[in-house]
Amino acid sequence: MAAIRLYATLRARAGGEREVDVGLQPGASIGDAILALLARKPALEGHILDDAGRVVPYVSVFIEGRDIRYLDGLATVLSDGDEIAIFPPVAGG
Amino acid sequence: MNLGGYADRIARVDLRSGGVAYEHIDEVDARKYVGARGLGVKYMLDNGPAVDPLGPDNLLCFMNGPLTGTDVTMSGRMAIVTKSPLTGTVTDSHHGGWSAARLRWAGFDGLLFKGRSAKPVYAFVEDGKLELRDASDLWGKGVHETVKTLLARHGADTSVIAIGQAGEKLVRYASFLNENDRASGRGGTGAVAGSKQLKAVVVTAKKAIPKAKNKDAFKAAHQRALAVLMDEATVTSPRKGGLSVYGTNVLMNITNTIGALGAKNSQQTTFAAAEEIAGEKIKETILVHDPTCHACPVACKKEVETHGKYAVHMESFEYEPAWSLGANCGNANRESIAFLIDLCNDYGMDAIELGQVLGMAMEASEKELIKERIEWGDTDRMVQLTHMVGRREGIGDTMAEGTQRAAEKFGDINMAMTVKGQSTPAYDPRGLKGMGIAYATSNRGACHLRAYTPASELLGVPEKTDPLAWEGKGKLTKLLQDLHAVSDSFDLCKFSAFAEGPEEYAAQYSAVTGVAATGDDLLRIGERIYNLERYYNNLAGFREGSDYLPKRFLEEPSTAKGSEGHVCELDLMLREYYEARGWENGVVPESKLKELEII
Repeated sequence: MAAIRLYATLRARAGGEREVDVGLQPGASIGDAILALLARKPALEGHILDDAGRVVPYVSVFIEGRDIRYLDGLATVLSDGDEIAIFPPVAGG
Repeated sequence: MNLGGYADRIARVDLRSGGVAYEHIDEVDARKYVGARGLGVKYMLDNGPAVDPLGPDNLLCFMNGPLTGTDVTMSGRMAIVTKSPLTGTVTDSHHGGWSAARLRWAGFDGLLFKGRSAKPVYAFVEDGKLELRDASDLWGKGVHETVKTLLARHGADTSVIAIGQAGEKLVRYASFLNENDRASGRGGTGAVAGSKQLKAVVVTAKKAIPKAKNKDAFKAAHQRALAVLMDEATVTSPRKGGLSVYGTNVLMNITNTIGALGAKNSQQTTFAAAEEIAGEKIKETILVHDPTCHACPVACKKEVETHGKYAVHMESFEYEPAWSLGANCGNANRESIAFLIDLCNDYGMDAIELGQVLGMAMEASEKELIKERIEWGDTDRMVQLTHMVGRREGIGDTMAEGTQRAAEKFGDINMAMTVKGQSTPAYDPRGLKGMGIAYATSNRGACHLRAYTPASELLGVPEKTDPLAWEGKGKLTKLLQDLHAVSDSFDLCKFSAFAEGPEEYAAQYSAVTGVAATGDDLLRIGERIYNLERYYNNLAGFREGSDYLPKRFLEEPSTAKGSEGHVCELDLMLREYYEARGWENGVVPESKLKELEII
């Protein structure tokens, strides 16, 4: 099992759930986890991945606090207990 | 002056004699420094950088830019510019709401106050005139009562910009508040007003949008800017983007996730209870309304209502004070945070500096450097100390001097998370490296708004950079400092820069004023303004070695996920930054001043 934490407008789209459990096999990637999330929460379709399967611009996906852009992207393999967090575009001051 | 947008009218007020003189703006200065922040700093330089910030010779400027109060989106900002009693640098602190637009509609670009009044006064502005009126009955009152009294006195279409007791008591980080909750928070502008016995500026004006010089060009430029701000993919998108839905406090969870949320006076880089005080939770629990400012569809202000012990109704539950009075003090009680922010607003104090001085005092107490017991997260004690600071009572008198001076007195300067005497904001530079170089080189002391590098490091604007990489952050900081210097001089809300870029700004500026300018031209103006400020500071005594960070950020590695093991590589970034700036270890050489036509 892996759990994905959703924030801001993504949480609202997912019905207000802070964390969504997604069942995964050992060796699964973050890309697999996101696809499993979308299967459970179809309202998130198009808000995390675009039609080509890439992360939508300005959306950030973190594993253990690290943006997957600086890991192996969607191919990054998850380890047991990894904290996964996904944010829509956020900024302020 | 033959430029559009400007009222071409400045009031110079001699508070000693009560005299008011009116003058035009020099067109050459307007082209070089635009308005608001840039022109304000020019007036400050002309006034001389050697003045005592709390002496009568200091100048206190309320400045608009040529876009203020126009139809340009997010153009409801005003800059208060002065020499800071907290830092000794030149400072500018902006607020939103409607006072800036009303000042423009009343026929002014700026109001400049000098001298010291023999008795408390307020300035009343209407129809191109300024009068000083007796404020003896308001002296000693909080901001909220002052605003209420003056609004009742002057009726509709009025804005009140006031100081509270903190300004009167010369708390070094006293602020001006506009319309109860919109603070020109940083740098101690309120203390400067207190030293002059200036209680408030009151502006009455009906809506009178200035006409653009080139109407057709303005229509096209305005539509283009509005389109990018409204785009559903952007953070500014009304009622859809994160900034609009949750306000600035949408940041709390992401900075916590990446290990860039300082906690307990930055002894930690994550706060376990961050979710309890984050924008998402605020919306679920205490949010009641989403107010906005002049010409802004984003509506990032978040009005909250609490009940019980910390009952309050206010509209500035922002990320910065939620952090400073929350995570930074080990406080996860959101109702108390709302109450404390409101208390800061009523006394007229910078909530960032107050939260930092409280956090520092908690560390001092934990280390038994002071006899007073101040526990982490003790909200009742925080409320009590806020009153004591605002009134300068007991230990509050020391804390009213600011974090740096208080830490020195408490016996350990390394507890002060300050740069040039001003406390650092809510982004820990061990997890967001760009903020480190931005804090260190900010011309007004530690500040996140001189160069908002999280736009790049978190959002990806103008391009995505790795928050843990130091390479390139010196150049990025220069670019953003220059961009924000010019947007602060228009005066536009900085949040517009999450969607708009220099070209969108240039099209609107050119259409309103008639000055042909490209995005590159604007960045050049921004560079000139940034160098002008640095020149002022150099003349005021800030020389080599003035750009630094607290030791904690440089030597104590983060222990949080996302940034574990990281410190801030300031020296490497400074080298890159100075090279990009053409400065000599923080000092602007004469050749650069000439190149930028400053001298």
